[in-house]
Amino acid sequence: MRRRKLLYLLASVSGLVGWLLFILACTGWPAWSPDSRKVLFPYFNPDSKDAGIALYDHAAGTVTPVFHEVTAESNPALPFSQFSQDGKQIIVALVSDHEGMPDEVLLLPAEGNKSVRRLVLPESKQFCFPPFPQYGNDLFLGLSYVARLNLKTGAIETKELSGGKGIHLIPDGERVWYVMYDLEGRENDNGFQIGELSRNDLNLKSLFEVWDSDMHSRGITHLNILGLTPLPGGSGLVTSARVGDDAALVFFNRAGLDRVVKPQLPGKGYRLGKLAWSADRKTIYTTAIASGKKEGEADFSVAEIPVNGGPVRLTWIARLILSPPPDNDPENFDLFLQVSLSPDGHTLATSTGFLDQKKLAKEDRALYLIDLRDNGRKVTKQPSPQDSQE
Amino acid sequence: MDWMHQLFSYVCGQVNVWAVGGEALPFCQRCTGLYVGGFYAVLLMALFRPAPSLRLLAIHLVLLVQMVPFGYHLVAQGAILRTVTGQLFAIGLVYCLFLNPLAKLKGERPSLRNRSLPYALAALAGLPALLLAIQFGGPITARVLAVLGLAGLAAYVVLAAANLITLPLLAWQMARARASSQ
Repeated sequence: MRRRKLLYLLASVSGLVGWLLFILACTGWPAWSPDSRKVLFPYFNPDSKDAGIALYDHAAGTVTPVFHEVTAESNPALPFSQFSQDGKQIIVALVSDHEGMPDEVLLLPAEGNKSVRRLVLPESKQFCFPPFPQYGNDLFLGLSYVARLNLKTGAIETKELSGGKGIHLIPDGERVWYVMYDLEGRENDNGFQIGELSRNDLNLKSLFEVWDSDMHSRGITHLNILGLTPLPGGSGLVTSARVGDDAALVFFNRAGLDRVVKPQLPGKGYRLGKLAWSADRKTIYTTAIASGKKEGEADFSVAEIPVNGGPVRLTWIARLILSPPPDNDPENFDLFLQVSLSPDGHTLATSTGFLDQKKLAKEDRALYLIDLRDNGRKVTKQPSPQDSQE
Repeated sequence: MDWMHQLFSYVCGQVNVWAVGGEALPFCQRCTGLYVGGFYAVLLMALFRPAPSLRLLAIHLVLLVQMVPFGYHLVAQGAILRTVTGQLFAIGLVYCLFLNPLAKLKGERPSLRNRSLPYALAALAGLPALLLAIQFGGPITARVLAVLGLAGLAAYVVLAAANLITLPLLAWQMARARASSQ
């Protein structure tokens, strides 16, 4: 009898303590899931030629530069970053379109005093944008070649492209989509190819090609190739585009261009950026730029597009300056103004840290966090490191 | 399911979430195993009532402890492994939380029939069943899983409360028995 009671006691205590520890761990014990509490964002100070990556710690309320480079170049290599899957490393890709500059990947420890690792890649003169596909220790990059980097051993394998100038990789669960752009083969027509990357041998399996002439026949005047985002369920891709003066979303299935949808924006002339899905897959988030009320100004907002139709909700972020041509083309902003959803689906982040003073007031160069749980969409602004230090 | 997302945000980080038929579940992949699997484990305990024994307790404690390497990301894992480890943890947790209140309800004598084998087989059958529902289910399956998860959470709350009430009583009984034997 006494033994049985001891058994009950042990079981009861184990169960209660076990469940309590599980809840504490899952709701965000620091060692468990740091990535929804910290945000990496790029910044560039044109005055000091200081470009870098800063880490915003939501719990501590601090912005800390984790990497910066100072260069005499007027156009330094742009750092793009993401956390490794386990959150223990910060992966920084330094890519440049300059002649003679190799591309590099730096592996910085997210915490502790471990040394930085530097992996040097062949020169590509192409850009690559996060998220970079990572599976276990393998990180994949698309430039003018496809590269597989082993984050543990540092081994690098590359495979040259045939038929295109550059490639962009898009992770989608266990699948990696690719878009190979500037295709060869047709005179006076530009095209891109969409397909799947074989992670084992870096081979490309083409699904279809799209040429400018195909898009023009559907009324598409501009397509954001680097903004291609997977559809839920792996059925295809979607990206932002323009149809004349209207902003549009273009959906691709596995056979080719599927449909063009015009979101219900408050007016014409909006430029949409890279897309991100909400946690419930009912809303698409993106950046939106439209002409401001005054000449030479533009409004930078974050847009929430309901997938099943309905008016787009805009959250105003900052006022941009449209200086004389060629800087007044909002297309230029697409690469640098992106939106990113936190893994817990509660916060949207966007950054203006890369824009110089010709395009943005100095005090507006910052990381912006939008609280999606707040009906009023409260926006929190965290200044870029060089500004907060001054 | 917005209110469910809100409710589960108190017990789950809601990072790495299954989207079943395009509908995101209100809990993470590991908690899908814990809460949906927890409801299933409660049904198994009620149905089979495996006799309490040190060996059976040791097996269920192993199911609890396996969460340490997986929960602390000491082992590389994907979505399926997260859910399966959550399910195994749920089986261990429900067994541990069930024993003491069940004994109080039934009196000191546990079930004499040894139903451990059918209990174990039914528990194992639940692992692929949940994964298949996630993989091939549509929006209705997502809602059903969310409701089952909610039922699992409610079951844990009731069991935890029952244990918190009966635990001091049990400790007092043991202390009194020890004092009288001396």
